[in-house]
Amino acid sequence: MNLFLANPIFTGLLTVASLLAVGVLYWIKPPPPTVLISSSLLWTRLLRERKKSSLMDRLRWLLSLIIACAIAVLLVTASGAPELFSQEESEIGNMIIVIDNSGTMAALRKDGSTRWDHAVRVARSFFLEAHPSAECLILDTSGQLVSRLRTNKWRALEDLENLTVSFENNEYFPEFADEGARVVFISDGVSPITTPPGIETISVFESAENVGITNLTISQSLDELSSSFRGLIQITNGSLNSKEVAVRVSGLEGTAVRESITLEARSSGLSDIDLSGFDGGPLRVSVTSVRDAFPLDDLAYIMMPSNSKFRITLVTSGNLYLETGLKAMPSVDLSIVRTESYDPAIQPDLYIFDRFTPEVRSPVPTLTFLTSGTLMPEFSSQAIAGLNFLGSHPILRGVTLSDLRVGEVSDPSFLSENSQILWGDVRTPLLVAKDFGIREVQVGFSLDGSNFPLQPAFPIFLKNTIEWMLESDVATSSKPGRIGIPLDNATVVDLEGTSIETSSFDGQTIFQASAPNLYSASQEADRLWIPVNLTNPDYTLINETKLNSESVSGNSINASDELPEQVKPRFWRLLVLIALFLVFLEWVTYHRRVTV
Amino acid sequence: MESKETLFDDDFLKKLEYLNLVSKQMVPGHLHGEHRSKQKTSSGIEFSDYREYVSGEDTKNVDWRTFLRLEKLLLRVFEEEADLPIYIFVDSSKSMNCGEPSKFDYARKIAAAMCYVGLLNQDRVNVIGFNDGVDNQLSARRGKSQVWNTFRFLEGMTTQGTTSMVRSFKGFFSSRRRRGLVVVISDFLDPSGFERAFDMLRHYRQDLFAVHIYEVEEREPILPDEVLLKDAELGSIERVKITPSLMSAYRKVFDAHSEALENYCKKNGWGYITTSTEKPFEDLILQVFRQGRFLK
Repeated sequence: MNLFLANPIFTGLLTVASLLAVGVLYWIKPPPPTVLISSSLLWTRLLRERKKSSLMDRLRWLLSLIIACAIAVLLVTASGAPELFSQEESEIGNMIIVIDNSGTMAALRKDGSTRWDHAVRVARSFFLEAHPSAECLILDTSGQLVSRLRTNKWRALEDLENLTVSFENNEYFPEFADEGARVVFISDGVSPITTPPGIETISVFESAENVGITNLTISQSLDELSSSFRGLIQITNGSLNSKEVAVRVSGLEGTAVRESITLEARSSGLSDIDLSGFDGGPLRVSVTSVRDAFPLDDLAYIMMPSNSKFRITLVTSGNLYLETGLKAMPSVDLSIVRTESYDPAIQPDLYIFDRFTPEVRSPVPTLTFLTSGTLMPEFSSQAIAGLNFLGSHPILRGVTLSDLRVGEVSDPSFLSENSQILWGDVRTPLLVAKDFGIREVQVGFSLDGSNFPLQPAFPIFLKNTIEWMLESDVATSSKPGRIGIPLDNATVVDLEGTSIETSSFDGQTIFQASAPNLYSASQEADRLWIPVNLTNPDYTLINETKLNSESVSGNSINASDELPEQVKPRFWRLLVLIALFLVFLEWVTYHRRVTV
Repeated sequence: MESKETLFDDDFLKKLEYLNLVSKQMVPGHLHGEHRSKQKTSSGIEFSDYREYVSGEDTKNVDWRTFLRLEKLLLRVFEEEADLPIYIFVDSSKSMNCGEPSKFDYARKIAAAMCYVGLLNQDRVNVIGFNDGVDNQLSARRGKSQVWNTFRFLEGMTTQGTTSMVRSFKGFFSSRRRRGLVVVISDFLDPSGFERAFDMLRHYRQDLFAVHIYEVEEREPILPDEVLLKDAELGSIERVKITPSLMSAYRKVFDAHSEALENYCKKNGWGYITTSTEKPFEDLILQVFRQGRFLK
């Protein structure tokens, strides 16, 4: 057996220093106290008789010194991260392990552990078997570990223990300089990761059954006279055989709807569920199937809009387009007020001001169509679409402005970098929206000065705007992982009320969503729902592996073997124990004097 | 250590009176001048025997009646009633200065008590301070009137030097001394041993009463693991590693020293008593009386 020390030179110097210290301490031991006695007659007589034992005394002193030195050496060696290894391991081979931590690695295997657990065990076994002096590096496919600095295997093991499965869906094979090191890639082969040629790959794939939700939306009923909603749930069977799937939609108040569908292998199905029995708010959708190995995609959350009608007051001097469009919306309870009859004391859910600006700002959300002012040059639809950098904004969802023509424009009363939704090629704001506080949307042109009301997208724009402005608990969908919300120092809780650890950066609150859930972020009066779903076919299809028996190369370790669970070297503890034993022995021998 | 002024205080004197009374009860019939010498003389009061008249002798004690009856000149012989000399040797070497109370103070108290009883018993009391020779001495005193002189002498004694009983006894008994009782109050830590000194007393045909004083810590010293032992007399230093076995051996050596003293005294028919300084001195004096060697 050989002894490995993390820093043998430093440990050696420390050992020498400690031995010198022990020797000096023994040498400069303070002189014993002087005691006055009547006569040394009897002592001299006694010591003369016992003179023959002085050699033993000297031996005892020497033994005491040796014990003290041994204690010092043991403690110093223990502090040097010692490790015993056999002579066969004496060949030093550097090791780089790239471990796939994409979402499908969270799939369960038949033994109850996940592919990820298995991959970690394989990586751990590689590191444990590596030479103590070997330089090791652990990297992942999600970029959780960014350092390319090679360390000892114990540090690499620590890094390995800190890795988690990522659902960012942006897996890639990390770049690094191998410099002759052995490079091993451990993966299930499902994620589309392109590995460089010549990489030794170890598969932890094991086929498993899985059914998951791959899409979830809520849409208004096709019946225009009804304000009820329907839930559209796409369910995908990633298994290698057909599955019976139970679908359940439940709300916070306890209402639930169940449905069953049968899905063929590697196929998807749509479940259309009537949500008229729900009042709105958070909905939880779950699918249940036998022997499901990937539970993370079995749940999905969504915010359902309210079923009640919105009280909207239109303040206008007369606008046929608006009045007609709003009256046609089944979810709107419309009141039309002439501009001269405007009473700020009346507070509906939403005010729509048509070419009218009240003297006092309304305390309820407002949609304002400004009076046209400056003459605008005509610009094409391509120009507008190209400049709409906030096209994903809920207001413009499904809105096509292909033939929009605007004659005159007015400057909105507020403008900031994030408030512009639509603007012209000279950066003239055409549509601005205020996100927080009391929501406000201003259209920088009048309807009669443009062809906007004649556009097919106009009713959709109206509907989107009303829904967005009146939905204070607006939902922002996300996927598991690091999530940032546009609220500073917000408190985040999950659906079960468990508080989530957060951090703030640049006016955002950031938290880690480890699993699908419905999170809510609150800051004073503002609240934001964040449904976190793993609705992605890339994850649900957990059997779509590129790896098979032929593609696994250099499989020096059978991934199905039981692997050791050892994590840390324990040898230093043994040394400390021996040192403690010697301290005890020294105390018993020289202080308790059991030997004399 | 008590100061000289308070060594023999009122309390001490009361104890002496008590000891004197007790001594009379313990030794009934003892009278002053009653210690008989073994010497038969022509003087004296109590008739002892007859012996033949030798020409040239004083005819004062010729028993003429017997001459008329037997026609032989016989002299009446009387037993001389002589007081017994008591030589009280007090060790004043530096080793006696150890302990609390010091062995020296304790020894002087014992000496004072013996002097008191002896003087009241009409004995001739000599007090000799000795260390590596006779340091000072108070020549023979007799009678109660000499008590204070004796006490002053004892109070004036100081410790110094080493211990040499041989030199001390030789120095004292080299001049002609009457046979008597030699009381030696000492710790008997004489580097040259006690045997030669005691042999010398036997040579001078003196009766010995040895009072061996030690302090408790002398027998049961409390010492750290390693210690420098400094000899109070010689000033020499001995480095000693103290172990339980060593301490046990030391106690054995100490006890063997005491036993050797006692055995030597017993062998010669002498009195011996050993005491620690913690024992009340009056108890020790009573113990002395019970032995019956000091007062006869």
